[in-house]
Amino acid sequence: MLFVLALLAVAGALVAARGGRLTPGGPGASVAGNDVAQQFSNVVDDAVALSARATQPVDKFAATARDSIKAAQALKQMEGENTQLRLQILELNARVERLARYEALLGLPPELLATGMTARLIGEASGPFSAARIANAGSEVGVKNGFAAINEYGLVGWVSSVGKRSSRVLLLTDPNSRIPVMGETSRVRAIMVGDRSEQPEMLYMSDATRLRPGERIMTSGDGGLFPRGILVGYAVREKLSPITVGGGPKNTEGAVAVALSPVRWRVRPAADLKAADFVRLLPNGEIAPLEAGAETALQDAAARNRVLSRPLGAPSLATAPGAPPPGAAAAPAGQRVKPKLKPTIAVTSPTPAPTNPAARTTPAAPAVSDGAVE
Amino acid sequence: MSFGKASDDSTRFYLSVGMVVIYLFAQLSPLAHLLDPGYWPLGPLWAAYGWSRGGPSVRSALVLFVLGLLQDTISGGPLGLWPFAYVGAYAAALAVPAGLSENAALARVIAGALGLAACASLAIITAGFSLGTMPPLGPFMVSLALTALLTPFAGFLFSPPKGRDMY
Repeated sequence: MLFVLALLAVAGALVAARGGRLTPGGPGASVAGNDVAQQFSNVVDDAVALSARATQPVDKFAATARDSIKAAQALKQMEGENTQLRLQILELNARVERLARYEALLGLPPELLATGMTARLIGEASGPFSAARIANAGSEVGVKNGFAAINEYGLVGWVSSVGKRSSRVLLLTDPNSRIPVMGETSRVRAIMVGDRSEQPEMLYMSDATRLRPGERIMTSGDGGLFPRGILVGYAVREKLSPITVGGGPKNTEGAVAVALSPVRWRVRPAADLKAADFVRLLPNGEIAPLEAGAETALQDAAARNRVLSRPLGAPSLATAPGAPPPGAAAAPAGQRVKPKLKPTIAVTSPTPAPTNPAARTTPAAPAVSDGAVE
Repeated sequence: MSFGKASDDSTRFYLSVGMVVIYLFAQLSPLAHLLDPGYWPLGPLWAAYGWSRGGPSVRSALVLFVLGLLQDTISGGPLGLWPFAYVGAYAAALAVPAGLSENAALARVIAGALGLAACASLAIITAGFSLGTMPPLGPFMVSLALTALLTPFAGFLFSPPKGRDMY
């Protein structure tokens, strides 16, 4: 109300300032009426403009207040998310610790967490028979042949040659590329072979019938070429026409596989290879050759596993014909040994050193005091 | 005077070699969003065709061999693929029947076709041996087609001076 009165007062003042007078009716009444309407319109415009200028600081203050309220709400939401993430980190740390303990109990050789280095793909190095990229990291920063190149989506390729400051990353689609892969859930093993198409082919599959379209394909780690479990892409089933069935790969195994099943499995890479920019170059796990001592350790571990997997109450290995009684020497003759329900597992070497070739090749079996079972 | 001519010829030759080298290195640039590097026309094949018009030359054959090795190194393709293909194309382009030398246009077409066919067959055979399986030929065919289409425009960069043209 006060605002309206003020507006009218301002309008009156403006009219007075312009010297306008309301003309009564008469011969020139219409002309005078038009002037009055025009003047009134001008006055109203000026009043509105003035009031807008007057209320500008108020509007600004209101907008700032609204922004502050929104920011406070967003901050509160982010604080909540941050708390949840911190809880998740704690939980994950606990799981990592448990996993490490389980691995130690099982005597699994530790899989080194891939560290590697980040590089940028700065150029093409492709031809009609090849598909590769140039990365701006070389031997100077520790890149070696065979390093896997991944980005945030999955495997991009691997390092095929290394210079001092650059290296060549062979893409998954290169015809020279051969990568051991497996289905994430079906565990079907295969070799993924590039053929310069956008979807590399899977050959030498262990059991193609178990694979499902859309299944995630990971590196299997076979041969130690790549770390195990890197996402490669998704399985794609390609139905072959009768004409195509005969025109499969020219190698013997692949041709037989294609001829038996009228489908061909391909992998749709998870990473967009054409748009790949930054990549992480991961070292491969080196597998030491099997040594003579390691073979004995394998047999030893197998024997101990048999003891562990034996059902309770079953006759022990010691009573089996020809088997040496493991605990015979420990128990004196005539003394009855109290039976134990579970074999005692004593882990003597919980984490085999990665530098020990035998330990890396063969899982160190836990020392089982099975002599006390009977 | 003859020395001056020889010098001019050498300059012309090495300039064209330099152009091919620059062209090959240009394939290292990240231009995949424009054209897949596998589809790029074969620059040394233009050189093989153009140099063949000046008559047989050991120097040209050797340079083509080296250019092929350079392309092998750059493209990461099987080593030895492009040297054989380019030298073979050069030899095939030289093998134009002498009777056709009067009909220059027809001779040029035949020389180009022979060079292209020799390059294609040698590259496919070498790649097949090197890779162990028959490689996918789609990109290579596109590359060959682009090379053939652009030869009338790019070939003049490598042609010998007028008056010493064989055909």
